[in-house]
Amino acid sequence: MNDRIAIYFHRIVAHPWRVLLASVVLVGVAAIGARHTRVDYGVEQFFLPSGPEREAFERYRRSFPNEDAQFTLFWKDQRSPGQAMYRDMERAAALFERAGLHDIRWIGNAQIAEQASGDRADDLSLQLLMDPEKDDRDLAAALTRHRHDPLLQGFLWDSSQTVFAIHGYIEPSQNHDAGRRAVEESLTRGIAGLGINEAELVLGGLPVARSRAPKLLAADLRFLAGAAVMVAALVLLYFLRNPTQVLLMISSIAPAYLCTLGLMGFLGKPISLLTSFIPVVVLVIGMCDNVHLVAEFRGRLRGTASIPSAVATTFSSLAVPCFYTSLTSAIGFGGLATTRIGIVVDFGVYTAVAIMLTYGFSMTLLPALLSLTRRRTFDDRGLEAVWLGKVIGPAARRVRMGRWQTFGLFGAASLVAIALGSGLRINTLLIDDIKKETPVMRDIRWIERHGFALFQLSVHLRQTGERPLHDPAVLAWMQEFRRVAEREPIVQKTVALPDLLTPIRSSVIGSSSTHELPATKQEAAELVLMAEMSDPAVVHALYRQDQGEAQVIVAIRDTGSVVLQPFLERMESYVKSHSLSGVEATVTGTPVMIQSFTARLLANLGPSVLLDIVLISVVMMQMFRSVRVGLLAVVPNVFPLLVLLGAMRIGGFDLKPSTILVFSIAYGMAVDNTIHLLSRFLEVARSAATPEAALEASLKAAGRAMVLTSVVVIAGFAVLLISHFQVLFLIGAMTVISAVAALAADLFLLPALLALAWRRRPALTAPLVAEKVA
Amino acid sequence: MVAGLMLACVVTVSAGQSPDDERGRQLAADAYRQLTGYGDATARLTIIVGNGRDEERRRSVRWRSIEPRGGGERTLVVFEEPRDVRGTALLTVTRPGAEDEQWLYLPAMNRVKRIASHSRSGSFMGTEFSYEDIALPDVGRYRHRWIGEDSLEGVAAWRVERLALDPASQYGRQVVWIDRDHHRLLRIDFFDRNDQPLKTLRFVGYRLYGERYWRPDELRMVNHRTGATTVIEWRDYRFRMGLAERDFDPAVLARSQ
Repeated sequence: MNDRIAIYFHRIVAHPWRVLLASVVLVGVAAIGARHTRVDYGVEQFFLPSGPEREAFERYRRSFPNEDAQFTLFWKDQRSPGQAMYRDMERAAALFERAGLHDIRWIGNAQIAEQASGDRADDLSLQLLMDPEKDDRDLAAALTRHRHDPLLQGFLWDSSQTVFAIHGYIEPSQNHDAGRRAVEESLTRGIAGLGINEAELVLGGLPVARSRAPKLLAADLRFLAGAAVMVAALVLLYFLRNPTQVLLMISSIAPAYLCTLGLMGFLGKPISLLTSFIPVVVLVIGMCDNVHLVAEFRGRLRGTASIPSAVATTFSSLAVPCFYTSLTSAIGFGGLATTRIGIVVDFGVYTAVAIMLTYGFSMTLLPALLSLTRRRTFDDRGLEAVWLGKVIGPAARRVRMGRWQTFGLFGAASLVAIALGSGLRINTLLIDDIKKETPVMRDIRWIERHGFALFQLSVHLRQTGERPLHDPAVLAWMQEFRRVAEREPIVQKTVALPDLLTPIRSSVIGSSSTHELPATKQEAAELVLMAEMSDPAVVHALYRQDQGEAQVIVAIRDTGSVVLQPFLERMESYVKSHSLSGVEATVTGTPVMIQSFTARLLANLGPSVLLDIVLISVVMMQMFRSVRVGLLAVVPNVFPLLVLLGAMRIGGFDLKPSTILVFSIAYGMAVDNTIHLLSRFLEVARSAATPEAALEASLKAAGRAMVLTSVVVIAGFAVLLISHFQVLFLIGAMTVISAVAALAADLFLLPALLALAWRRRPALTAPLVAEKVA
Repeated sequence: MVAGLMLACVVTVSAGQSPDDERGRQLAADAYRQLTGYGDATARLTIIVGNGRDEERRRSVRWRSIEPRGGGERTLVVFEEPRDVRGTALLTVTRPGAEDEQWLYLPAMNRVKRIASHSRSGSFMGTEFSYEDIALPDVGRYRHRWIGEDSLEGVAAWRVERLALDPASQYGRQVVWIDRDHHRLLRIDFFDRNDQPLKTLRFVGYRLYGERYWRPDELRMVNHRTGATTVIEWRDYRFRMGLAERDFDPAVLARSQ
């Protein structure tokens, strides 16, 4: 095996141009595929692909597609409502129409049914709320008269009528990432071009947030990933003092990402919000191995005759450990496939593919490129820096003394982290991972503060028997449900069919006692017909009579899953315990879908991490042909995860889907240094007198590269701390913390464990591995 | 002096009209004439409303109409299906140069209500038709322009563009296809105020009744934005049944069953 590996690398360095040509061809083919890769940041990808929640949601959306299709322009005017404001709003409403939205709703086209105030007592006025021909006083009076209309307040204006709204709905066929963006950008441009100085205008709605947040994230990611690469390159430059080598290290990673993109393109997979993180992950994991390779290469070059020979021996020596570091990282990410959530599975699988491709290029392109370099002597002042020695020195000394203190220290730290971590909350917002001070979040909070809702859930009612859903008993059920729901602090308002029927009824009867439900089914049917005559779109948003479907809309605040989840459970429990014969009621909507995704993902977090640990242990056992080593290797890699849990609690972060990303990256990175140290230890252990001597030698040989990779990772990821996105900030902060924790565990805890294990069984029992890695 | 003012108005109007405008107006007037002069008529209608997603709902109504002495039209629509709105009746009175008036009879609530100032752009009974669409195409409500000739499914037709004079109209313009031989309306393309196609109405299956009145079996409206459709099927057309104006009086709506 070792011979074959050595022969392989000797061939690589003997024919570097062939390798380069093959790489160029491969990258060219990948580029063709990458050109077909499209970007799709649609949040719908986060919904569970199947299951009862998804089926109920799809059924509901077929009948009521406007649930997440509403674009809204919020309008806070300094002027009193009147002609001037009306005309400006009319221009803005025209923008909505030009953007291709339908069912545009604003105060200018709201239809009102009321007892006419004219000379005839039997007149029923079904007319526009505002007549633009009338003067300012009449317009203001019309608004005041309907201020507390349950259908209009919280929809077309706030409770004090200081903020108004223009709504439009995107076609279901256009309600995808690209379609939403096109409309949002058209509206944003149009609103800026209106030149209205008297009003504060805020474009909002779920599609707007869904368009703007991913764009902001993508822009952030592009800038910060670039900056992270630059910082990492500068740090490498400081240590290696050789721009060519730094460039080669980065150059051998980039093709792996391009090939992954190409593969995604050929397979028709879009770049999603999650897969857009692959470059960052690949950079970290690829760079770690490359640092070890280049450091080793420079070490060997000092005593070897030629560059090709140094390259061949270096890569022959580290090919197996690097393979295992890549494999274990790939397993770590591949484990996400167990979530069975499409977007997460794609992220896990394609990251795993990218990691293995990175390994492939590191073992072909990098040696070929290095063999073409000319310099034989390097400036090693960076690698030999005194402070590096000061980090590694105590670790080497601790191998001989203070072992139990080390166990005590790490054990205590782990216990504290577990204690802190056990108090972590599982909490996720419906629009999450964005810092509060960003414009997107400021707008959302502004909208909620003014009494408008961004999110709604729905009780979807379906007629299963003879009784139509406008039957007075069903209407009464809706009213009772709303009464219960409105007691919840999370609820902003509820809307249902009775809101349409009761004002018309009181107008027809001529009674001032409004809000009385129809007395009979026939009466209700006539009122539905009248409501359809007035404004069919509004009726159909609540009731699809011929399909036997209706909904009760419950507008809610985005207060986090800590509040949302129990609320949903209470609503579901109510609906189940108050069933009506011949009517099927289901609680559904986007919040339910997001919540079920979060629940599934977090429920799978433990098993997924456990599976990763087991699989990686098995791989290590196979690599080192030792159960003991496989189990020992788990300990220093679990430690950073525990530290992360504690740090999250101290930092006030909650457990949420984006956190899983951090855990995967942290684990993938931590395991790399462990493997490199173990490999080195088992390599030198054969010739060492004692385990302690072997460990000291291992730390001296691999320690500098371990510290160097950690410093590169810390510096690169620290750049993410300035991101607008909490998810990127978290990745930055947590990766830095886990890098420090992992390095500490690998430098102190792992040697102490190895020394203890080998002291009890002095015969070094890894000849096969030693042979393999030698 | 009055005659002079009138002459001035005529001259002004004539001066502002091109030959194509005049030709368009004339064709529209011919089409209008083809739809009027029937005296009174009855029919049964089935209204099928589709939402563009393979779902549809049906309404069955009885329809009666009369041309009163003073001009215009009175139309009474009485619901038969769905059962729980059976007997609900809508009376629409159109007078030349005046706003339309509507009365609604609600049997379960035993009320007749006059519906005041209904917007002409509102939906006709929850269909894709607006009140503007179903009103008689009174020439005075539009500015017309002849825009060409064409054939539609083998029938030679004129194409006339019309612009609603009512500023509250939901349409920017309409293109009307008029059969060259019989001046029957064949199709209307509706465009929004951004000149984007909004709806198309087709008149399908014309038949000649009483050797004088061409009437379609179906009106098919498609909303291009939403994919929603409405088909109005007409059957049992009868003309000159001897209906009286008093049968279309709001006061007798309750007895219209």
